[in-house]
Amino acid sequence: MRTLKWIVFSFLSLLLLGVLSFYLYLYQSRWTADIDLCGWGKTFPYYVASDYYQVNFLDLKNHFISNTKSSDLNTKKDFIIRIRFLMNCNGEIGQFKVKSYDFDYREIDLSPTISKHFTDLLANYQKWTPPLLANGEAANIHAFYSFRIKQGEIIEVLPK
Amino acid sequence: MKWLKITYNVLTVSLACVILLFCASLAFPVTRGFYFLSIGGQLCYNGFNDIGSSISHYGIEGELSDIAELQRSFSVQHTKNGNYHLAIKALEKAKELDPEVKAYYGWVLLYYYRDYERAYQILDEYDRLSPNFSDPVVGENVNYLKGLAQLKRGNAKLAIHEFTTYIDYVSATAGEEWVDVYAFINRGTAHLKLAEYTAARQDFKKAIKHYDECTEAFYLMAQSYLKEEKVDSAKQAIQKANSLMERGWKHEINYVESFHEIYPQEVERLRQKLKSRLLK
Repeated sequence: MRTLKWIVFSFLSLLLLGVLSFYLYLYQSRWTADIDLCGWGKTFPYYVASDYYQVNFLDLKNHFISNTKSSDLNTKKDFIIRIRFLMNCNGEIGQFKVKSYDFDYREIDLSPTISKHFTDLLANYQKWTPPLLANGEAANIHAFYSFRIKQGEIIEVLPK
Repeated sequence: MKWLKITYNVLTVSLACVILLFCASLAFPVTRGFYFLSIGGQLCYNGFNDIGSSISHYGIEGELSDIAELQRSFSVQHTKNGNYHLAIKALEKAKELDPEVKAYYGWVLLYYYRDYERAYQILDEYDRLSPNFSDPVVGENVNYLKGLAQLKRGNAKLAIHEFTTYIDYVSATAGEEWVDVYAFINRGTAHLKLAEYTAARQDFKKAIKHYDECTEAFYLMAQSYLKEEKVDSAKQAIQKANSLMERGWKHEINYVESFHEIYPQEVERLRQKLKSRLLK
């Protein structure tokens, strides 16, 4: 019985240590992010939070569409560019991660100037309000925007 | 004291059994796959996108890769996180394993990817699995969704045909009051695109009949009146739309923009346009 107790105790200790290390490994990217995340850095998906726009999604879409010319994209290819980002409970954004796809949803490499164009536009858009959860508490969120580009024009901005 | 000792020993043995079962389950590829899938999914939900994707992707490979429903479930969080390459690859695989997945695949391509060509093609394939029947799809209807895809592709006439199939089917089987109000709104929009203003207004009026606070119907009605230079009627409709909008009445979806979403600045722009027209 005493051996069994020791086995259980050792296993639980190892499990706890493993979970703790994994937790630290996960959150170290949050604690070293280019924005200060509130609390321990937990983030909720964008669709859990209420509206975080000062104006609305249409205003954001117009911001991207009116500030993007065919010459900024400098390619004849059709593609989708997706930017993931974090927003803290004060409505500040950061930690952009860009991926691009062709229209068959295969990953492609885009010119860094195109990625920079979109991340700069997102960084320059500062009309955010703190994202609120259903209980009224301000929270960090993770979100993304993706842009469908056809013949040098933004035809869709997703998701909302 | 004796009972405390017994309870303590029972707890230790139970815990040992649980640990043993957990370790044993890790030996089976299917349960191991489930663990990776669940943990990866949770990590993605909490925003640890890269590591979450890798872990859940590992879970879906191997023994679990031939289960269509798991491939579909795997795709859900990846669609919501914008990991399109992972989600679409899983949905393509799920579609091959089970043609019924086409319903969800078409729906998600329409709403979350706005890939109207492909969404129409897949929804049509799904629709042809059971001809002469207007199938339900993710709480909506296949003809309604095909209508939305056609409308967005610029095929207004084909869109009207699909919306009408849906509206007639529900009206005949359950009654017109069970038709999604926004089917009238979208069919009306298709009529607007074809400059069939009277037909468009008939649809908007039907939407209002079933939902009298339908801001979209009043807004689009104002547009149709304006196209025919009926400025007074347009003004009345836009005022109603504006008052509803001010009270926060508009159709919204948490995850994506709706197909008939209108915004306060659009209502205001039309209101100002009508104001200036009356002054002339």
